[in-house]
Amino acid sequence: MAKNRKRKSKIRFIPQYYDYSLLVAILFLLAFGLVILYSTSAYESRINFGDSSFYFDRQFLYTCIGLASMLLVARFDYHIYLRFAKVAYVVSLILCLLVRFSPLGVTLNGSRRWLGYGNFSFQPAELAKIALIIFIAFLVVQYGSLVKQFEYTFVMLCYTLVLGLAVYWLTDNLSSGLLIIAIGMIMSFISSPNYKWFAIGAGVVLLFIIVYVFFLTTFGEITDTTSFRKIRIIVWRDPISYSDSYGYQTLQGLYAIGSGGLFGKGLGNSIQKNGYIPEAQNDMIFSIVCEELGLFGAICLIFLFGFLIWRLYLIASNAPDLFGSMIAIGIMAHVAVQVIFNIAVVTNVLPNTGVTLPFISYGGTSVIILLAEMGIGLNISSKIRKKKEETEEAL
Amino acid sequence: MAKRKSSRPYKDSELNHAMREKLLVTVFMIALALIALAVYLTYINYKDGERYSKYVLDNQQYDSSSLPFKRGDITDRNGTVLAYSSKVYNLILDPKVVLSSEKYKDPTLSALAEYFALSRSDLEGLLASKPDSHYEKLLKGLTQDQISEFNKMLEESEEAIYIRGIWFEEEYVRNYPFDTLACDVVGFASSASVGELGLENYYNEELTGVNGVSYGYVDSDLNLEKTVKPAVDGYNLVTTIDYSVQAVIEEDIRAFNEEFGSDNTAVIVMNPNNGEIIAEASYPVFDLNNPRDMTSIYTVEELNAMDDETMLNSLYTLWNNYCVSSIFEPGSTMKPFTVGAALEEGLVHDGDTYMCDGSEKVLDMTIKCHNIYGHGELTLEQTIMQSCNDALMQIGMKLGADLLAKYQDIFGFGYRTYVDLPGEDAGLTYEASKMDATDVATNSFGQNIEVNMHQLVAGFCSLVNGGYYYQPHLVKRIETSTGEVVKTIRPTLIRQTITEETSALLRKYMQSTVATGTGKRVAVEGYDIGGKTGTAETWALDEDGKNLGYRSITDYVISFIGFAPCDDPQFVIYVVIDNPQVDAVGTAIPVCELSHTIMEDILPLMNVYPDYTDPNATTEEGTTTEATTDATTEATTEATTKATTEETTTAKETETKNNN
Repeated sequence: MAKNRKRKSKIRFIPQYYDYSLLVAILFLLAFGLVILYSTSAYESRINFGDSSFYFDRQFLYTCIGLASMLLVARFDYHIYLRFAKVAYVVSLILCLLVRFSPLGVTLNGSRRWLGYGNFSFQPAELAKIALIIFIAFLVVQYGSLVKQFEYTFVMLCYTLVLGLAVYWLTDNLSSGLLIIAIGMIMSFISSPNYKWFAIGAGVVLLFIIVYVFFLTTFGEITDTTSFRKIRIIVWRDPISYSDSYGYQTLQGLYAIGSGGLFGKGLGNSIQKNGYIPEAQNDMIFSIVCEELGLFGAICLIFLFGFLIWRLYLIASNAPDLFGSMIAIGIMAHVAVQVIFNIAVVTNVLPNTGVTLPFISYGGTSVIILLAEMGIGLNISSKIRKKKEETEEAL
Repeated sequence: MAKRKSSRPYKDSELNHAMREKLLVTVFMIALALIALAVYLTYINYKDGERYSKYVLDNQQYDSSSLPFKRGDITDRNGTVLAYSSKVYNLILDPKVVLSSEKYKDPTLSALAEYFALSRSDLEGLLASKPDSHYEKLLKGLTQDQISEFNKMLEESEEAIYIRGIWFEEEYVRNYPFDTLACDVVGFASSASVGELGLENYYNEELTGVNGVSYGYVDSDLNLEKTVKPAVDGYNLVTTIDYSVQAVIEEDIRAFNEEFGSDNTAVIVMNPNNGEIIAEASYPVFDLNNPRDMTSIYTVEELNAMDDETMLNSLYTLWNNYCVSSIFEPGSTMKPFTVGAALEEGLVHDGDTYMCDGSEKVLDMTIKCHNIYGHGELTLEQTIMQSCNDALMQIGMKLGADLLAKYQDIFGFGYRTYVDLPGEDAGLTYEASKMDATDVATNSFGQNIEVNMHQLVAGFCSLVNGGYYYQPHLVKRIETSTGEVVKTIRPTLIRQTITEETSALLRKYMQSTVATGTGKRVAVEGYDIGGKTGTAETWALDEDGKNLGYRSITDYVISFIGFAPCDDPQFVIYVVIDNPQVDAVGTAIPVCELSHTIMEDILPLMNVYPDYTDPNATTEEGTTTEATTDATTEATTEATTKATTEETTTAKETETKNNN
């Protein structure tokens, strides 16, 4: 043990390289997110809790915890996750089962998504995302050159689907399930040299979706027994017809976006947040960004996310080894898919899924897990310099 | 070591070429997706921005609200406020808002119960019965003090955000700080823009302002703008009334009526040199702050017994301004007008004598003088001093119908004076062509002609001021709420009625009337006062107020019109008592005594100073004693003759009157 510690401390003395651009981007997003969150949630917070900073205070606390965990995680050599990869995958599945079948499962707003005891609660679905990223990265590394064979890619897709569907069914969380499947697919896609099967698969799924949506919107009628996911699809195609009921939130979100103009109404001046967009601080927060800061603000935010993704891409392509690259790819996919899904939902390009906007939307577990992921990303980035130094030494 | 070994192979592997290619493809697709979304956002703004902005503005509440104007103040000539408006608040409940969330109902109702002592169960009932209402007036007329604690709590309490659907509607209420003072003149306003009586009614348009409005609108860039168009307050009236004089007179009237009582007691004080009315009072009075309260003149039992119509009629009677809306036969106060007209026409001269034998036969009837035994031989001056009907009839005959009617016109009888008060009655006069000898005879001493008090005062002013007839008025200035003068009402000289010489003679005659004649009791020691009394029987009325066609022997209108000082009159005072409840029925004694009291009180206030031309105090004393004796004798004489006083009317006369 003593030996180990000594070696570690030796590494630590080597000047750490962080991707400071990534760090600055993260901090900027967090600060921006808190400001927007306060602006968005103050009204509803006052109504519901009599304290306009209720949501802000909590999010601030989560952000601090998240930052601490990010800095902590950034210290750990990412290679240790190799050892936990399988365990993490299995534990995630078990936690999902616990949510569904144990008394620890907590139901909030009609969904049984949380595991909790006393004041403490968290969403296993968020943990499952990072578990999947590590697990798929582990599989890619383990398969080595076998990964070129599509059978192995198929196996990875199966693992992805199992966890994704488990999160969807067991924790009643479609958005996280979809995210997990999307992350897994992107990682599988990149690890495999194959295009054909992915194209065929994507084609089949798309065709199925188109047919399904066509049938649903043509013949589907919303009745009391219609499941809310079907309702969302029907409403997605025709929100105006349901403007007073299911389409209300979507339409009010669109009105917010449309009324922002080029530079918006100014920070804090949103009208729609005042009770017209219910729970605007959650997945609809982007519409308030559009309303208050306008197209300019919204595109700046998209650009910022793009920059974050770009830095993660650089980390992925420069990582010292395949495992680091795959993890960085997974993290990048996570952020990218979540951003795209969220904005697509807010603009009604996709039906409502409930995906939140990373770093901006309200949610404790989400921001902590995301920041922990960023910590891993920073750690990977720190190894790049080391690798270069080694190369230099070798020269 | 083991770890190192196991990790070694992974460390050696890196992203292969295919993976890098696919990673690039993926990032490219992500970038594409983000750009597509950004483009789509722009598209939404471009295509639907304007429409969506309007939807959002629909969500915004920019309802307009009315800002009430303040009705103008009414002040006396020195700025004493007679009527003003003060801001009050109405407590409004919006049940729909209260019921919009479970969280609101309980704190809201608790706050109402706590701060406004409203019954919780009543409020629950209101919410249950009118859940869709937006406007329920809970309390009216709250002052700033009454709502300040609630507002303070709203600002400070944590709970306040759950208190919804309560707001205060601003309003102005009218206040009359002196309650009954000049009630008939000032009048009252039933709302900010509706004046009901008196000046409040006559100058309603000036007193009323324009409501302001606060509203939101959407400008060309679709920004919501909040605009306030402030209310324009009504104009203030500066009246010619002098608060001190008015108050003293009203006090004297009240004291008289408490001791004796009368149907109406009215006083007008006017400045003969410009037509300004300095005081105008009539009794009974009512509280302007509570004009529908009649408990001051009726008992509760009487009020309970009244049906709606009786109640309304009683109110109208109470609100009636005797000084403008009631007409009556002035009696002997008309005599100076007749004499003035005759002097002006050169038909009589100072020093002419007349023989009074107690009656005058006109056509086929005998019209008696109040002294049925006859006054004997009287000079022109004495006819006024003794108020001789017989002599006046002779003078009237000299004038004849045409001239008499002409001078009635000149003095303004039969025409409204257009004093700035509503409801003026023009009175009743005969046209010259319809006047027969009896009419001429009776008109000459003020019977068979009906006037309102303003007509008589305005005309009388011209008799004593050198012949200048000014239009009487009550408002001298109209100002904005900030004090800028909008309009100054200057004295309006209507016409010349008589010449200065005639006026001087009449002043002298009436000075003697007060010094030693029928008006002796009015005299105030040390002051130089002139005047003329008047006594007239009223028509007997049945219970419904219908004219029975003969003269009542118990109901009289007694009056005194006077001025001071005699050489340059500063004010004219006219005191009228309708049906005084006194023992000395049919004499002018009560009105003389009341006039004396009022004169005594207002002379110092009117800046008229005692005449010290005769500095011999002892002589003064002696004169006073003498005067008192005279007055007693006079009183006795009058008492004995009261039964026949001015018993001049006949059935014939009644017919004539009714024909008109």
